[in-house]
Amino acid sequence: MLTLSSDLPSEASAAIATTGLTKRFGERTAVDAVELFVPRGCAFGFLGPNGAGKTTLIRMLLGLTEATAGTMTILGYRVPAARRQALARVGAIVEEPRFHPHLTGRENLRIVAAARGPEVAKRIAPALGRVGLRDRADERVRGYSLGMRQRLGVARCLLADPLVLILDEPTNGLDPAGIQEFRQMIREMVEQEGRTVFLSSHLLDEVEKVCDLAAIVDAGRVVVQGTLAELAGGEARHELRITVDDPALAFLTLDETDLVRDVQSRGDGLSVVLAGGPETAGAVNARLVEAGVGVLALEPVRQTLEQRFLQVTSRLDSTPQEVAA
Amino acid sequence: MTTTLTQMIGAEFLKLRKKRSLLAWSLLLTAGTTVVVFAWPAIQHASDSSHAPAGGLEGFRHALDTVGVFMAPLAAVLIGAEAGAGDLASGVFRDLVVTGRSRRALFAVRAPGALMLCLPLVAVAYGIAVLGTFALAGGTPTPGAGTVLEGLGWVLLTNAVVCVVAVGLASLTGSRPATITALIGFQLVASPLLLQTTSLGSIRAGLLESTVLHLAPVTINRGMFVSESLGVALVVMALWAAVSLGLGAWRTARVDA
Repeated sequence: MLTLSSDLPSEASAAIATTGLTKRFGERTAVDAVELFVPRGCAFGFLGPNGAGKTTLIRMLLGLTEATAGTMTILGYRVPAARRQALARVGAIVEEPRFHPHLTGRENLRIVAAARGPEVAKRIAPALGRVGLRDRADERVRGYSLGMRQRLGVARCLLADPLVLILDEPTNGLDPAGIQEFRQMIREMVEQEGRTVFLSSHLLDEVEKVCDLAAIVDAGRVVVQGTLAELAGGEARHELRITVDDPALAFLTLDETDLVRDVQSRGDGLSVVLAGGPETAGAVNARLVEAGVGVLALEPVRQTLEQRFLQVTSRLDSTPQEVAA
Repeated sequence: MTTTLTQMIGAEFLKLRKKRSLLAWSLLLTAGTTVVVFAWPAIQHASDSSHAPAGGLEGFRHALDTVGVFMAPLAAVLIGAEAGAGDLASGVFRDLVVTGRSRRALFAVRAPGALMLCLPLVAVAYGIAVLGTFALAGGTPTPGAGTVLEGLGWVLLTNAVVCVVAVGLASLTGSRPATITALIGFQLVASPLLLQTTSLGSIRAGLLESTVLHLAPVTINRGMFVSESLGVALVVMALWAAVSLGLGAWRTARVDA
């Protein structure tokens, strides 16, 4: 696994940290030696295709299923050894939120509040208000739409006054307006309230719009993690699109230098992969000018997260170094 | 911690009492059937005096059979099964685990919550039975106050044990239908057959129904009485409850939520 951010901080400063976390079901490895570091106070996307092991990892973190190997901490507490302290300030929606359908929304929250402790009951009304369900709180959940259930699920999370929210595919089944509202709520929680949101999703768009950092997981392995810009850029791969007055001469010039790793002709210009970092672009420009090529435009090519996602998740047999390259 | 457990038991009771179908069936199987036990003979007696009065000692005996052995325990099974497997079936168990509360504590509140619903219903049914016994005695002998009190203790005890066994078994299987089918089948079909199989000898004393009949304040003659001491009967009853709860707790602590 490749970590794009600087050196990993200590577990104590992490909202969530895992080391060598593994889960096997018989011969099948669902989660494979995952090293994950989620800093506090950010929205962290846990991105991967369906069946990549996202939910299994979340279930281990929350003590819903046992890990086969490895260690995990939440807010600095070891799980499962100090599970109670770790989860005291954690709210979670795993897969779809489930409720007792014959109870009202408020009664469902009372059930969970009772398990959390006597002081939690007073948070029920504010939590319902926060998710816009105050007026429907005394209706049976059986009659709630999926969107209302999702909101009630968030209200249930808020009962913990959570420092960490773990949301597994939270916008599944929501209409566009609901999705927009949900994303806004997540950003508010992070930016205004300083909570950490761990958002598992297979939707790139969702992670791009909501998260500050992300990890891409595939076949049970975290392939890469870092800021969204780092993930999209791929760090080690810097690409330029150069428009010139003489593409043939430009091609010959750059093909002979060691400044570029790859050069391709593209109509009135070139597509170039730099051998070094982004600062190499200046040297490439100078070399072309020295060779008498008129450089009309030179722009970096930014990969989208989607391109990066497809790139890393389609290279399952690659080593982390190969993926980084 | 005590406050939290009290609240959790209250929450468990809330889940059960708000389930209308469960409440309706439980009322029918407890109070409803007890009313029928007296109403039908009363109608017969009113229309034809050669029929015995509905109440009196004989009516009391029939009522005890209904409330302590036959019908009310079915309600206890329904309530216990719902308490034991309701959270798993609805998917809410996962969210309770996520609170960080220990699974043992989550299990521990199920039986008290179930008993909070079950025992009042049984007491109401018993109240109807006592009322019918005296109001419809028609001059026939009636049970003494001691027997009436003993009967109250007996119906509460037997139904409590059946309810607790259902909680444990439902927590073990995670399935309400499987638990209800298994327990009702065992209590209504298998146990009577086994009790009448005299070749089994004293092994039959290990059946829950055998101890229930043994502890009854009046002889409930269902042709199934197995001779055993009071101590053995109490130990057998305690074992049924303890083993069921132990298995339920074990499974709750380990099940993938």
